Amino acid sequence: MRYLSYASSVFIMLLITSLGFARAPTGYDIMERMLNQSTWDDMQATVTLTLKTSRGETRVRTIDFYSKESQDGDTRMLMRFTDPADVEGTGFLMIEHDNGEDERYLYLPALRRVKRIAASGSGGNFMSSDFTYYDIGSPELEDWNYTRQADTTFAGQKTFVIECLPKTDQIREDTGYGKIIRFILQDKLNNVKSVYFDESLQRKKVLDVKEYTEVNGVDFESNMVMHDVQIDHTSIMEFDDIQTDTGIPEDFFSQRYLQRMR
Amino acid sequence: MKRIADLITNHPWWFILINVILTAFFTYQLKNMHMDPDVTNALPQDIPAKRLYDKMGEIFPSKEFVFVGITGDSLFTPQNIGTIAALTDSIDAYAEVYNVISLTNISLIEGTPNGMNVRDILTKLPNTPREIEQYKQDLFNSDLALDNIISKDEQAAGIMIFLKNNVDPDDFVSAFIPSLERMDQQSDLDYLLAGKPVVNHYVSLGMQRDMAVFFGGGLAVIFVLLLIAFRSIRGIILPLTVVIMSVLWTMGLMTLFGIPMSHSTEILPILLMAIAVADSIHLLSHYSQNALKISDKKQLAKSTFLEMQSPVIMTSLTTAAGFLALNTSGTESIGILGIFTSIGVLFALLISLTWLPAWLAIVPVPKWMRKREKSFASQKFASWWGNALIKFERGFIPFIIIVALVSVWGMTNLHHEFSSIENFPEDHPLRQANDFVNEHFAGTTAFQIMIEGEEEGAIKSPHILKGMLEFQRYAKTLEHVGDAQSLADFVARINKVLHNDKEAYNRIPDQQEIVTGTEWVQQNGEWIEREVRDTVSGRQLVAQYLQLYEMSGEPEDMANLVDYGYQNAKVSVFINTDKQSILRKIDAKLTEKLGGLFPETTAEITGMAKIIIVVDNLIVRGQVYSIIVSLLLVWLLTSFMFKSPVIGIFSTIPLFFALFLNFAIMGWFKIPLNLETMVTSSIAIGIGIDYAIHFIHRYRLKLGEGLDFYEAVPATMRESGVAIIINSITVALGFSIIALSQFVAIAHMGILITLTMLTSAFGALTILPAFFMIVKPKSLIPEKS
Repeated sequence: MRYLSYASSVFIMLLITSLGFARAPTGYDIMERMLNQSTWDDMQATVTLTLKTSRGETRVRTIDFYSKESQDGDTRMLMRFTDPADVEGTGFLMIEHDNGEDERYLYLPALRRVKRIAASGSGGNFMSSDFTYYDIGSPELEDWNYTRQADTTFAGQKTFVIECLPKTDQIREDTGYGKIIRFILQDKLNNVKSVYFDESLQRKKVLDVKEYTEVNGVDFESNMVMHDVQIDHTSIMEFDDIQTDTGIPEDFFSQRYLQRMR
Repeated sequence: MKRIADLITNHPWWFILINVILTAFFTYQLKNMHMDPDVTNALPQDIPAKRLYDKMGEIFPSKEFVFVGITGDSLFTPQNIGTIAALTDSIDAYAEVYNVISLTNISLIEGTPNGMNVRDILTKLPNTPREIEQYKQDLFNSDLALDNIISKDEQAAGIMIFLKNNVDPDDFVSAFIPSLERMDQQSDLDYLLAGKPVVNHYVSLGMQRDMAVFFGGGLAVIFVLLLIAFRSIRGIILPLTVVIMSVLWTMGLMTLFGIPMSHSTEILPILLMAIAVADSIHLLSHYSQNALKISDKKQLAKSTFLEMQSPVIMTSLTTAAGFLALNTSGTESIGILGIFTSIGVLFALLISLTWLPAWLAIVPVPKWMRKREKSFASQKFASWWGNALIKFERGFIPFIIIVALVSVWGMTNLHHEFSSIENFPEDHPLRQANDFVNEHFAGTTAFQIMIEGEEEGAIKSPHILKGMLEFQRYAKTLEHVGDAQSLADFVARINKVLHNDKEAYNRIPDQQEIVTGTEWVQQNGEWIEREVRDTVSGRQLVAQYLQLYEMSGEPEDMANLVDYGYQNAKVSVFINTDKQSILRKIDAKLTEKLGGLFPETTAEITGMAKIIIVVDNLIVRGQVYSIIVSLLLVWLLTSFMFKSPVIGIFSTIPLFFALFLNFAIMGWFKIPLNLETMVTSSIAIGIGIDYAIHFIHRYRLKLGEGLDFYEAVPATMRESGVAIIINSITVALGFSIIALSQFVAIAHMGILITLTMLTSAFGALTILPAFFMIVKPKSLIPEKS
């Protein structure tokens, strides 16, 4: 997940603090520092995904979540649904290639088959939630132009405000975003809030990170609330029992493993 | 009463001032008046279908839709597809719109070599003939419900606009119509608008037009009548002000109570005008008769008040009672019409008895009124009529029998029917749009079947989905059913797509299904994939199909088909007519089918179509109830007035005659019973009883004077017949304005009320005297005191 890779920024933050800014950091600098760090090879957690309609209906899914950054720069994620009962055992594998289209597979135990899900752009919704595949994946630093805007304060803390604009029409189309405004705490480089604008630059979604959990000394976004302001729909993603570097083997993230009932 | 008369004639300015202040107060309220064209709001809340309809509105995000039909020479050109796509996007931008379904934005469920893909039908607009061809193929091979987005001949496109439940549909319709008209002028394509919110929009416009026509026409008719009757300025101005003030007070009071004008209450002003003017006519004609004897204006005003208050109060009370009986109809808007017309009649009484005598006490009595020769022509006619009746005595029984037979024969042709679309005139654009849409598409009237599961996830059970699918397939075999849609279509489509597009799998999985899949096993240290056959539960299959869909779907893709917890689902059945007689037949068949399909689940029919039928059933019941209750009420009132229940019964004889004829005429001329025409009877009873009261009152006086049952007839005719004729013609002419309504049903009602006024007057002046002559009831002769 993108936020997982943000999370490791404490290290670089310490570095920045100790060195002091040689010059005022640009938007690009800040994003680069935020994105380019990682303090773990793999991680696992229990994820609760809650969807809420404006009418107050909710749909809750619980997922065992595994993720690993592989040597070749790919990010692999495997999710196993544990609830509700009729989808228990359903598995989802996603391999984000540094270059080329992502691979997405869903294992349906009732069919005894793995089904590939076409990855037409990354703007599609993940599990009918307000998070798109793009939102839960790790973003390419070079896809966007960054403009640093006037700093602000967020809950009393100094905060960078960075406007991100897609570099190409293709990226705009793929992600479905015409603009993203990110609010990043200056001391810890936590991306506490983001505002997403659709392709016609209408305000589309607001992401609030409600809770951080310290993992390996790093703040990890363990409770994210995405609110689609256009359709008034909300998705909440909560991470529990976070473990890192348990040594998940690479072939755990394969179709074969996906298909094995645990 | 005498003290009141003194008070009014001694302090006329006070009474005028109070009337003016009250009129100003009530008129000021009118700024908040609004229209409510929605017929479902007329229903009481305790009707199961309506309750279910409201519940459906809570569970599903949209229950009403607007339909746009698009026609052109050739639909599938890059330009036209581009235009439709742009229109679809622009509609989506309206705040009131929940979602839009058009042939440019539907989602396809496609099989892929390794799985399934859900994608928008158009990722970019097709430009080349090849791309157009591909697009058409995608569209027609999609297994999607296309019947409401592409016409059967593929010459017209449809856009279904689902509106949010918590918005006023008219906000959208009134904003959308002008923009669609602009598009219509700018592009080669033609656009048609249909659907219930559009019907309501035009009903609202028609109501405003009707009310203007009624008010203007009513004033014109009253003006002419007053001109003929009184030929004086005061004889015109005073009754007109009474009429206008009564209407303003009543409408102001309605608005004060927050009650909107509805399709039923739009006739309230004109009813009130016709009734209110009758009081003034009685008072003023008495005034001009007395002017021959009394010269002092105050004395004249006082005597007019004292002599006329009693009959005016009596007839007002019976009229008010008749209208109150409308409350037993069970239809809220009709009940409101009843209550407020009753109040209006009492307002008119109050104004007539204060405003009129107050002015008459102020303005001098004109000289010509004192000198005027009385014209006896009308009285001569009346006594001639009375004598003619006596000669015709033997002919009455055959006459009644013939009338009865012809009426009964007519009544066998009675049918109840209503169509809110056919209520518009044939050349109305809405009617043409609806005819086109209903002919080429699935239809804009819908039954919705709510399936309510016991617990979360219940809808995923194969037997429920199978039931839904079978129900849909059955519904589609019925005439006038354009299409039936539900979540089950999606599940069947996914089942098919995941089985290599084999048509045999275009179905819901069975309770237990044998699946052929693969599994990975370790053999000699190597992982190999091998085939497995397994029995799995259909419920799991369905759940995982939906999961697969959800993996790439939007949050609310299926929100209008199934609720979030998969506990409640909806089947929509589209009907290409809103004729109630047809809807009733379809409803009966669907209900019967539903009974066997969902033994363990609650499955009930609601939707606009069902509600239309419920309205209709209420009408039949309401018709009977309100007639019985108004007859009882007027019987009670007349029995009380004449201090004899038998005479009370006599009073109702002309009414039975008028009602009989009313229904006979409806049968002969194929005027259907419906919400509007049902009102006629109760109104007729409340007003028509007046003529009988006047006649009996005078007839008894004549009997008391010693005349026999025959002699009293021409005598009564001479003294009361003229007033009855003038009164009934005045009211009938006033009501006849209602026939100018744009709406067919209301125009029918106008004709019927007009006729009923005349027939009940005819009954009082013909049937009643004939009955008295033949039966010679002793109870009529007043006891000598």
